[in-house]
Amino acid sequence: MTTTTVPRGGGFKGAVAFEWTKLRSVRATWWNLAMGLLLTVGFAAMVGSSAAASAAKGVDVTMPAPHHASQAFLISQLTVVVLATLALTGEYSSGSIRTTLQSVPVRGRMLLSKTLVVAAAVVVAGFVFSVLGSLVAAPLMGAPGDYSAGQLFGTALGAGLYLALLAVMCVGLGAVLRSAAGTITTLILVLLAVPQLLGVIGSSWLESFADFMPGEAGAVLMTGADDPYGAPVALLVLVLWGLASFAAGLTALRRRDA
Amino acid sequence: MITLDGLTKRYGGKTAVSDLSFEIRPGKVTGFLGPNGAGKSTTMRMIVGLDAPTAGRALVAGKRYAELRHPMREVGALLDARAGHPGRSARHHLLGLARSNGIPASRVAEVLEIVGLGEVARKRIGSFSLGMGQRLGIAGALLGDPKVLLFDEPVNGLDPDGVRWVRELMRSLAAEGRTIFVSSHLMSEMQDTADHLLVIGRGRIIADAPIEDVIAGSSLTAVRVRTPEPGTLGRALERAGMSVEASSGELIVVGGTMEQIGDLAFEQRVRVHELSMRKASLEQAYMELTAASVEYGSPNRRA
Repeated sequence: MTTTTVPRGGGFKGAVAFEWTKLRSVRATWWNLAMGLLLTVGFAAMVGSSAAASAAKGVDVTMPAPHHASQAFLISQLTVVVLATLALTGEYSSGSIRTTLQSVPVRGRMLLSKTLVVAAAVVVAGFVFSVLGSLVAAPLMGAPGDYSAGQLFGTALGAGLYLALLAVMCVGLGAVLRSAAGTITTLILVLLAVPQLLGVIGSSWLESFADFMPGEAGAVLMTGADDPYGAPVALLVLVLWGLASFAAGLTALRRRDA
Repeated sequence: MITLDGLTKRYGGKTAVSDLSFEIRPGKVTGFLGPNGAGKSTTMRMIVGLDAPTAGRALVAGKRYAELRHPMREVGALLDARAGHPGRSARHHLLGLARSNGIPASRVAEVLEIVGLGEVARKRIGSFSLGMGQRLGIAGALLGDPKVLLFDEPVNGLDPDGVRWVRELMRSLAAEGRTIFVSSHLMSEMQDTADHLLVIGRGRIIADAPIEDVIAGSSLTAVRVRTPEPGTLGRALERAGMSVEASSGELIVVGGTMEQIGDLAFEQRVRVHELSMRKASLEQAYMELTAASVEYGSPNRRA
């Protein structure tokens, strides 16, 4: 712990330090991270051993283990959604948003510092989860899962960035909806339900729209695939989702009384 | 110093605060009174920038709240007992606030001691009673050692000991030259604490005066006169423009000072056995002032 004895302080740096103190001092943050780790590693082990079983039946499952293991995030991303959503909506449910805005009255500064702190924590978590998930899945997969160090870190970096931008969306949307239930439900729809539905309808226009949903872009970013587009486009798609949510959150925060 | 300049807040068609203009000066405790729904909390929330005014502005030390670089070092506010996340410890709650405004972390332990929460600093806020939450809110307000302090219903949930502590705290903060602006429903509490009163009703100012003047202005503030010749003296007092009410050998006189009444009695050669002030309580004066502007009143309300 560092002791801030600087007489000036405050401003944006102060706001960031404030948000970091808040994030790390509630148990929900650590519970969510622990759950995220457990789910990632657990599902990575599952997909790893099912690939091994398929290989034993003669099915070609050749795929670098980190790419294969990244399917685990389909489930474990939800812990990140909860973590990031609660970081903002928890302030509304507890009433602490009023204290927060009294100490950081500039709305944009508050939202930006909260977004950055949550995203930074999630980047690290996503990277670590991915590496550990890959290391668990690889020995289970055996030879078909051979991978390079570049693939291991590439996927981990992709996972970190994808989850961080997902967290940005949660904070932005949380500022609009001000409710954990509403925000989490919306995100689950966007991540899981809507892409499925768009695929079922069978219109080619809707299917290509589904390609630009955040979950699909995240999968591209983590596996370095080049279909339907490459990693740079995937990153751009996610950044746009993040920016749009942030802008919506900022507008709501500025317009409405706290 | 807090300056309100034409401050107005409307929600849809309903006006919560209407064109409030006044200054709250340093070195005094200014009490903020008004019936429920009169706009007290809304006014305080606008001062600290939580609610945006529909028109007008609220300034602290000449600036809008959001323009202050270190708002907590200029203005401390207790607006709501539910100030922090229930899962966070009191110490972490205050530590975060301190960081946001460049306040030394050592100040956290200091304010926790001041409000008497030193021993529960590491306990989670969710386990606090209403009174402890109130004390924590006061600790947050004091954290930046600000020149201006706002308290919305600070004694809610406090035990008699706590109520007394808050009263003494406010008096001493004002004596240090700070600006103290406090709302309360407890009139007896205000009577002991405030120097100056600001009374609002239906979003408008009804009274802005020293507390002594508010009480003196009440029709229930009167002079009691005991005399063996009430008839003679009563007529003389009425001729002098005072209102007199006779009851069992004494006269209750409104609209004159003890000096005037004593002099009149001397002129009339009437013997007087007692001449005493009967002061209205702040509560009585307040009820009279706000009788016309109660938002959610009971029909058989008496002053």
